[in-house]
Amino acid sequence: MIKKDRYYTAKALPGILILVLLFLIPLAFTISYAFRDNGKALVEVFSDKYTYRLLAFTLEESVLSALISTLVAIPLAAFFSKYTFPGRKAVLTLSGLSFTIPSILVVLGFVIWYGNNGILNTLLMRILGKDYSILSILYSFKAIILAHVYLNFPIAFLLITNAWSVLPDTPEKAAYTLGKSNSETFIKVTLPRLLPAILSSFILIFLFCFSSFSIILVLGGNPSFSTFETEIYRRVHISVDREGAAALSLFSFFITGVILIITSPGRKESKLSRKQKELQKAKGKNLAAAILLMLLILLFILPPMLSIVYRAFYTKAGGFTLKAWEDIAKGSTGLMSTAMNGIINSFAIALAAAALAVFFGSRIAMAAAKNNSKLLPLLSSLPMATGSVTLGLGFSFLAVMLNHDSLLASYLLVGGAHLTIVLPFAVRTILPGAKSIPDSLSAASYTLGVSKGRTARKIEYALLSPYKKRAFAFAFALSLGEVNATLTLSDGHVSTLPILIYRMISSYNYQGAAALGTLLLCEALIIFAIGEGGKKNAIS
Amino acid sequence: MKKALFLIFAVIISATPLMAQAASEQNVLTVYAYDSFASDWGPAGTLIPKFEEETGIKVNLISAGDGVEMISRVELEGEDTRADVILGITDDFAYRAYPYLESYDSPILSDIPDELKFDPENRLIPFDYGAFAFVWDSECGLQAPASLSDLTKEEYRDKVILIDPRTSSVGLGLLLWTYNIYGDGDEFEAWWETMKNNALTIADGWSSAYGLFTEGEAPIVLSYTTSPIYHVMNDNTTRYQALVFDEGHEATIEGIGIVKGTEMREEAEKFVDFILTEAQLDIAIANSMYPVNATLELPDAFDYAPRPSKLFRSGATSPEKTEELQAMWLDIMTE
Repeated sequence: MIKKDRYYTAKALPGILILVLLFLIPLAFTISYAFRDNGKALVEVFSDKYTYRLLAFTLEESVLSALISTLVAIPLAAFFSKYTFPGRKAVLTLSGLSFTIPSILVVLGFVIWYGNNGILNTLLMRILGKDYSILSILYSFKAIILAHVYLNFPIAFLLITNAWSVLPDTPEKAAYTLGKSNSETFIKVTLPRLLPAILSSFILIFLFCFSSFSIILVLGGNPSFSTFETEIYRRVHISVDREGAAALSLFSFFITGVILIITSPGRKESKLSRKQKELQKAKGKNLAAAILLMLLILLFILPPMLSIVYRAFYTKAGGFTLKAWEDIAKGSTGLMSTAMNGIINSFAIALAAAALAVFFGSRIAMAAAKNNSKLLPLLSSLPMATGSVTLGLGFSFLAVMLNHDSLLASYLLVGGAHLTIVLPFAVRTILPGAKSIPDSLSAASYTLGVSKGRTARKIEYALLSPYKKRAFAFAFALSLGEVNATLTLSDGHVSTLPILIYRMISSYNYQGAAALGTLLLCEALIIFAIGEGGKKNAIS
Repeated sequence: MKKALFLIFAVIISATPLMAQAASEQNVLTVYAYDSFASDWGPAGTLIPKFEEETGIKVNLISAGDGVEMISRVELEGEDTRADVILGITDDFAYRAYPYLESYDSPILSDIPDELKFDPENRLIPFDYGAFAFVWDSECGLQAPASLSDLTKEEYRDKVILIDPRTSSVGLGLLLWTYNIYGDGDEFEAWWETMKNNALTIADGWSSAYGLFTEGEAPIVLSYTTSPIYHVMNDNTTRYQALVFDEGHEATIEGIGIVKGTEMREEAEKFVDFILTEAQLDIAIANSMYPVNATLELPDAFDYAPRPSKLFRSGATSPEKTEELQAMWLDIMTE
């Protein structure tokens, strides 16, 4: 049944078209700089020792971050996909939040909580009666990994839990009947079926960390910890060397591309009939374990975020103040209207981008699954593999090309750019779901005389619904925290919350930024809560 | 429903260039500025309406990213650029902007001190300037350092927050500053070698560095001489002080220029003059910079922004030399 399926390809086309228009064309412009002067810049990049040093470190930190995040997530997912208990949903909801925070606030949250002079250290010093900081976590390699795991572990946790909860456990039961041990069953029976989800989350995290640089520089504390992105940034923003930046982007692009191709799994041949697994109610020991696990997760996830909320109300000295909120509310230059504007803009753009990303993403994922295409997921992953600096450069080409002058066009462009940024997420999140839809189910539907379109609508897309929900949440969160594309493509005429946060900070108002960050978190929380509380999977 | 939405979306996207044409035919002065100026919270929020009211000239303010992105944009657009005026090019990148600008011998030039005028042809006219400096928490219990060399003392180990010259213009400012003090020689290398240990961290940009500082992670941070103004005006404290070193400070000067071939030369001149006179104070306060116009009286808070007696202009170091210093820095810091 490995035959090109035109129907699904056609449905994926609009999504692909947007990617091409808003991403591939500007990217091609950017990359073309690498080939100027007979590719002089490219030759330099390939022959420079520094490139390989950057490569070594970039791979080291991103593989390690992705590996640890996934490894931590698997046992937690095992528990969360087997049992149901009070608070389960809340924890799942909360763990997606870290995505919404712009990197500057993540750094700030980390410093307020884990810093040498942070809350955790202050508490420990008081308890132990010492007058020096007890934990020295930040400004080292482990701080980089900690921050990356903090930011990205929820991806693995949510994606794997998602996939695992809908995985029927009949094969496992059969294995136990045959006398297989727990570990043997897990490795031979469960793991292979979970692999698409595990790989998907691994790759997403890998790509995120591959292009990370603020967190690495600030929290790593040492310039020898630097990634490709640092150097690309330098070439774009400090040396104005577009050729060099493009050449290096192309190189890093090549690396991520190869890794994406190697890791894109083919379609599994054996399909299992789809039967929703019933979650067991956790009782006794299991309930205790559930509470413990939830506590651990919350203790890891919440403090840095709550630190931002704390800073919005308390000064460094510990005094309660509403000054930051008053700053937002009155201000001399109409901050309130700007803040309201930012809240609404962020919300509307994120909502539209996430809805469209799920819409196009599920169609691309279905087409990829039906055609067993490796190209489609690769194409739609490219914006993530590009890295934010190169992406930003591409968007500035786009801004120059269009050279528009209307607010409406600004909004549409920003929306489109957000869409291309979050689309890879949606596709990657939905793809494991699309791959697990058994052909036999669709075939049965066709045999009953149901048309392709109706089968797709009523059966296939419906089966994707839990994946789509997750994709929506991620896409929403990601779009909510986006800064660069918004600034570049709107000529500064569209203000979103993260942009206002950066503006606050550039005028020294860190507390005001924390207050806006709190609003950002609230916005995400509301949407997540609505999403999680929504109807259960349509097919049961 | 979703399909309909998409269709609308697609149609509007494809109609964008048309709308752009229609809009650009209006008679307005287009100004490219960096984001912190152009945003509603920046000085533009009050200044632009004031200018429009006084002169009857409509201004279309476009926020084109940071100063460097602004140059990039003008370079990419070439002759098609809509910009009539660009505001916020620093002296170290001025050479890239010159080919796109035309001279303007503004009558206000006589009010600007000569040492700030970095372009003899007046294609870029300075409108504000700042000096990089270390800001110090006076309640930290340490002695205040009095020179760059002091910072390398053992007592400041892990007490200084630096900024990476690869990702920040402030970080680059310090790199050039140390070069201006120590020159081509071992001293330059030795300073950075020691600071590897004395720096708590080397942040990616000013925002995170200063955030770490206000969170109390270290008592000394690389910033501007004007940084204390915010703390005086908003927190009512003089706890954070800018350290002025007798050996001199690296300065950054921001300029405004009229774009070559503009059809609105007269209006553009009025705008430049406005920035050099009435707008001076608002811009200085919002940007935490010093105004260039010497005829102005500054608010009291500026008393806490000590003016260094000796300034090195960042633009005085050639781009090639800067590139070379960056490579050297990387070698020293990562070996």
